Amino acid sequence: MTVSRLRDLRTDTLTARAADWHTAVEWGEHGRAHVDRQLLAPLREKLVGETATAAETRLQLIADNCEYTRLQTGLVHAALLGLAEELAEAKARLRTALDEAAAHGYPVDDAGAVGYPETLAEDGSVRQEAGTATPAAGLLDRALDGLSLVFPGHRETAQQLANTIGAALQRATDTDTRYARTLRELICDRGIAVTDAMWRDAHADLTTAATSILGIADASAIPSGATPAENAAWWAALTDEEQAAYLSLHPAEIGTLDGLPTTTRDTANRAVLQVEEARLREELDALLRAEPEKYAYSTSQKEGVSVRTVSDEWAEWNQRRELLAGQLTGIDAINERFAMTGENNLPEAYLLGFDTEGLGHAIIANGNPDTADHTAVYVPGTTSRLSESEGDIRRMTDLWRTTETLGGGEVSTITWIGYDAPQSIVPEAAKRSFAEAGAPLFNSFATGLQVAQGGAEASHTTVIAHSYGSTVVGVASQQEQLAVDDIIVAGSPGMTVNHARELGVGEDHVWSLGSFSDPVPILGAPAHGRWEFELYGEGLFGMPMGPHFRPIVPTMNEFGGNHMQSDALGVHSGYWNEGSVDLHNQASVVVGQYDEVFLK
Amino acid sequence: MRTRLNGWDEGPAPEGADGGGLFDLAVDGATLTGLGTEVRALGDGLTRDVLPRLAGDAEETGAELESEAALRSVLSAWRDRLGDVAAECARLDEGFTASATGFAETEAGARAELQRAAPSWADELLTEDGAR
Repeated sequence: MTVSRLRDLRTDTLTARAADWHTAVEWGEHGRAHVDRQLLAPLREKLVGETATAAETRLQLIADNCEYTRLQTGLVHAALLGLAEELAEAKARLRTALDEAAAHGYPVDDAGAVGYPETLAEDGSVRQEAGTATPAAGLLDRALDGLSLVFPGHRETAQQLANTIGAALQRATDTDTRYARTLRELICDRGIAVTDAMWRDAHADLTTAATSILGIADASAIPSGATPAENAAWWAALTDEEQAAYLSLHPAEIGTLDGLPTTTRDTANRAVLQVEEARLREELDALLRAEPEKYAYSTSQKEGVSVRTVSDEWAEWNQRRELLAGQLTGIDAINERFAMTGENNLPEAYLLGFDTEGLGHAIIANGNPDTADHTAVYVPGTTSRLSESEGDIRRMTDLWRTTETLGGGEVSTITWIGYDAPQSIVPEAAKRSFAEAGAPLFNSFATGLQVAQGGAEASHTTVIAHSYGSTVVGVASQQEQLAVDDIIVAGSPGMTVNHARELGVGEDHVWSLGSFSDPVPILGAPAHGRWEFELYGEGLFGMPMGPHFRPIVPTMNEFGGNHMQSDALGVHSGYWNEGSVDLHNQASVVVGQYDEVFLK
Repeated sequence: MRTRLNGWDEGPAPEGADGGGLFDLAVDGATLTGLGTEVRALGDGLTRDVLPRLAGDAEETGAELESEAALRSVLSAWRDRLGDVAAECARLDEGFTASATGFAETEAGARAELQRAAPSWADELLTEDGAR
């Protein structure tokens, strides 16, 4: 880099090119939604047959191209903005130094060397000869800078300027090299195929870009631990280009921010889903190729015979294999839900959250909650995790379809696998710690929905909590006012409170479902019901009992609220059976048609 | 290939014809036309709005940056790729439109068109490189 090149460098051409690339980003973003809504949905709804299947495959490939284009050209766009910003900073430093040199009358050559005249002493003698200062670095640089403070002659001043100029040139050169390397990674293959290998490369590109593009979308500026309202305010204050750059460079972080618009979170999380899927498949493939010996053999000292045991190495390998395979199963379930859009009017799906941390999390909405008249958030219980998401997603699609039969406005139903649920009945489900950790996450999510919707009155919101999920909601209600209007609990083992009115939404807006065949409300009550003293009561087989303590759960009359009829079959998991009164009751509450609920 | 259109079965495939499978269709001409229109709009968005802006004739910084040279390669590659995507959109448009036209004929004509054209389009769809 030379002085004249950096001085005259037109960073505005880079930002103009970034704007050109942004048209490709927008095409990709809008194109994917266009394929989903205007092409795949009517195709699935109205055409059947091999042609339709083939056309769907081809259209899905177009949708994949849209998403791939959005991701990759988004990085090109961000790189150009970052390059422009960083070069502009280097150029500004150079210009400042050149202006100062000009003010002193020092000539500056193209390599950054600064000429200076002789310095005279007070008696008119020459204290310093005229000369040329060339850019220096490191210790010498600092030493000379120090000298200029002690002996402020022309040489020291020129040297300081030469150093500044040299640093600006070096910075511009380094920046150029770094961005050139980043951009070269974004050269794509010709054709329309979008392969697993390409998604894996996209994952690598994203990682590289996030650490090499420093001039825009500073990761440290992304709110952490802020309220949903603060998140929304931060996002709204960004320019369109900054928002686009953040979405391109830091989708995982943006996708988790409660309070941001649904479409923004969906865009971010779909990107994370795509690249994570590729990463997981690659890791699983590699793992399957390196299966260790399953058995270890040893000789029993006592019996003197050979003993075969599963080796620790294989057990560890198998645990990892099961985790990866399970998470990919969860991703398949999400993709299948995406593919169901349009079937029997099922609305577009939005991915409000996704990660593979621990056992993985996913938040999937049927319909856009930001514009919905009624919103339902489903909080699943024990054993919920990414790999088990299919059933939880299906419950909310079934609920959405049931609400459609009732009418009453636009509905969004959301599956919220957003906390680390217990993974065993004993001992984990008996612990309250999972609920205590999950409750703030639920509150943040529900409040974020409200913020994105435009306030508490913008949408009627119902939380539907199953099993341990009801314990999470109960704990959440004690931490802050729940951002919901109605609470439905199904098969609740207890909500840590002893009356519906303590949940903060009004007793009339608490609804419980409990099947006679569901043992969880009884078995879980000692752990999560609120213990209450009773002077007289019934014990086993209706035998009278004297003074005693007993736990209160939502299905008990003493809890208050509304007790809905249930014909759930399937012990603890039948509350979303197709055609069940349970599903009808939930749908009625969700759309605010309380008169339609069948009460006990 | 044996075809069944909106529940109507054309009967066994002619002797000597490919007998591999049942070509089962629920067909709505308006939907096919609509799909053609929408996929064309998507491709037009590329050819009209995106590709001209990636034409490679934009002003440069004047600093002969290494990153600008890299960008030229990136731009060339993406221009080709997006051009291929636009071409695929056009092919799909033609496929949908051809089918819609065929099904808009008289019932007999539609059946004939189906036997003549639609299966070949389906075969093309099913066999052309580009499966996911």
